[in-house]
Amino acid sequence: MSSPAAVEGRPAATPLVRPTGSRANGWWGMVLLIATEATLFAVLIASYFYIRFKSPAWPPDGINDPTVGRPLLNNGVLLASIVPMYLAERAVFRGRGALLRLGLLASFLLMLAYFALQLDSFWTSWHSFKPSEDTYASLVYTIVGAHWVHVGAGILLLAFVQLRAWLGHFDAERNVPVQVTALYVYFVGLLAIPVFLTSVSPAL
Amino acid sequence: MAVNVERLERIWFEPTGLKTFVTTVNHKKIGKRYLVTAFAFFVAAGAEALLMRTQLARPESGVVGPKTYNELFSMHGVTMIFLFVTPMLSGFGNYFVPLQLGARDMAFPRMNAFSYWVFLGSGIFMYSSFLFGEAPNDGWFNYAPLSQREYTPSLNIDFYNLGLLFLTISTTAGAVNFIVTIFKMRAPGMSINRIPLFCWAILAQSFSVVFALPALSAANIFLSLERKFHFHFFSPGDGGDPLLWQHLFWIFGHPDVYIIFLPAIGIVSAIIPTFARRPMVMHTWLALATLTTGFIGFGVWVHHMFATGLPQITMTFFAAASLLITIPSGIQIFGWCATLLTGAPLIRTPLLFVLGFIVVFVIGGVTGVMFAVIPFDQQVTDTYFVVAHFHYVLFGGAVFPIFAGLHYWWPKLTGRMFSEPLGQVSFWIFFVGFNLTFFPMHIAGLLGMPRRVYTYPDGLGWGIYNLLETIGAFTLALGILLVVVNLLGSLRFGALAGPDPWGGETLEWATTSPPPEYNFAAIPLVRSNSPNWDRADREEDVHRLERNELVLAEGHEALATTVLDADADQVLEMPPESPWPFVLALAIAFGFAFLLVGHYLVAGLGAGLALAALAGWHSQTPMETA
Repeated sequence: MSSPAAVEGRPAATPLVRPTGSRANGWWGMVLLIATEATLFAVLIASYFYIRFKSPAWPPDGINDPTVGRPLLNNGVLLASIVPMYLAERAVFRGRGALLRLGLLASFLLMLAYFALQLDSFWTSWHSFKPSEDTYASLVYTIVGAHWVHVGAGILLLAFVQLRAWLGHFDAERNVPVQVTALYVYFVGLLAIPVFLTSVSPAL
Repeated sequence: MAVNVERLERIWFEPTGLKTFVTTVNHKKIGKRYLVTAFAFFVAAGAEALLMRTQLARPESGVVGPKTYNELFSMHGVTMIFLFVTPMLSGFGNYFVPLQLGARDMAFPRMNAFSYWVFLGSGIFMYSSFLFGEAPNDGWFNYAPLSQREYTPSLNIDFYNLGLLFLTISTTAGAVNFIVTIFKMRAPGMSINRIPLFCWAILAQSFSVVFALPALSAANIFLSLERKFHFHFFSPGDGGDPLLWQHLFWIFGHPDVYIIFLPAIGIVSAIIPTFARRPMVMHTWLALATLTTGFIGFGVWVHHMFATGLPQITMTFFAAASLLITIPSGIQIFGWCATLLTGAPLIRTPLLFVLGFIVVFVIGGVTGVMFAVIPFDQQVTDTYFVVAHFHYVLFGGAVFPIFAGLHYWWPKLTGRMFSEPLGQVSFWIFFVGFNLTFFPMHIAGLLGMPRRVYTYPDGLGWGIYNLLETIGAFTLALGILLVVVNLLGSLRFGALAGPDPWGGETLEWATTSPPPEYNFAAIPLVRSNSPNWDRADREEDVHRLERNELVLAEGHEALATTVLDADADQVLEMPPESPWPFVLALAIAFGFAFLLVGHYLVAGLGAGLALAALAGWHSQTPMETA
């Protein structure tokens, strides 16, 4: 993306198309990162069901069925973070800086809330069973933990982009970082659905 | 005109010296580094192979013991697959994809530098295991249960797991970079049907990387968690299944065969039209066959597991899918042959290596089809027949094209011509050496010789074949040595190559040898599949430079185009030299080193350093260019 100064000094003969966000290189890069990450989760979840369909009891004796209510709440909070992010992304295209900053902040806080709630849930289940107990436990902790780590990355990304939004780095023309972050936030948010369904599947 | 070129020279100038060595983001420097580093790993893995062949030359020989032998064949495989072939082809890709596309650089130049440093770091990481006498020793596919903590408690396997997780960062980042570059950085007019076949191959390979490597990563994460934190995934006693490793590994591993093979055939498709002196027959079909091969490659992994006792229906399905691969492979082989037969082939060293490839690869393909026949597969599983097959496919399918590419592009890389007679002699020694090494392995395998044995008793009838193989291996090494002598000698004695010594078809031949930092003074406009044969268009480039059209000399600029039609889309301000890719790679290496030895808090510090490096990276220039 060119800086305005370079555009002014440019000879008229040079074709210059105004950049459109959805076609930016960074956008493509993020789409591909998400593709490879989504594949990782597909493989993790496939491993879960591969082992499950070979096991006589699931969860094995000695481990209770997972609870549904609490993870539902946690993941619901995470899913909700998509909405303000979407509003923020729309806002930046229209050059509405205040709404952008507000949306980023709300999304950030919701993800943070999920992160804290999930930490608490981890702590609770840690008291009832440990990942080293058997393969069921290892798989559940690995899949949910991997998702949790990805949310952590999303939080850091949001924090960084937010900082730049408050510094006034974005407007209707310069907004690729916002779009890229939005893609990632949608991804970790939507990922909550398969991760949640997998982890509570024995209780369904 | 001269004014514009001067401006470009000034804008794209990089000083020589240590600082630039660390901070450069130029795709040609990075490409050359990939080539040199990967070749160094090739020499290391070749030395390991020669040691093994020396040990096996005679029955009951004692050159190396069983423990060392296990490490040798494991590291030979790991190095050849992960540290030589893939990065070597990335090196060609890095150097020549932007040139063939008429671009100034890759889409993400700093990420490109980062990929290289991570590749180098992970290679050093894995090879440092030899210093501790604990190199990976469970073969390149590292099967559980042998790789589990109970059976291999020392660090050998951890070097493998963590080293490959580390390397995956590099390979994935590189693949993303290639895809976006090929989608977005093409010269105006290079619509999707005009993308050179080498770039199609790199594109198909990169998509395979994006979707295949996560399976390897998952397997390595599982095994690391098992070994380091007492998780369970692969022990039946704890509800796991060792076959899970095999499935995950081969879901990655078979596509990886194409990750290795696709760019190599891309080189073949780049060379054949030039020396046949006509455009490729069925250009579009070949491009589609490349993609189809990559796609079908995801549906055949179970054919590596026919001897593990899977249900009949599963095996039948995967046997059928494996046979399907012959269709796109056949299209490519016939396309190449038809191009050569209808052209006026000029036999030069690069084409000789390509012809050698076709012969050897067809033999490897035929034994491959034999494996799809399940009873035959079960008969020869884990014998030297398998070793013979995959060397015909991988050495034939990747190393022959790599050597073809080295000769083909050497004049572009260095500006010098190698000696053609010496090139042809070295090819024949290489070709004879290769077949003498690997053909007798078919027979030894059919006679029942298992792979991965460090020695064998006398009187089984294997001795003569093994001796021939060892003689072949040293002949092959001599051929490779001659190639190296020829190429390096050309730097001193070679004639100047000029921009286009072969009459090449694609755009890399439209600029000087070696190309300037900015590749093309005026961004070329493309109107056919063979842009460098469109003389009028290339002359027009010169006139456009005079008229200052599409020169982009206002800054450190490159042109992005639309994905399908390659219409000019936006002018990108490319990032300058940066220390952050190196620093980030260093921080990650630090983290992995401490994961290895089990200091997790210090490893966490590495993660913190990596985050700081990322913040520095993104603060350096406006992120809109990232």
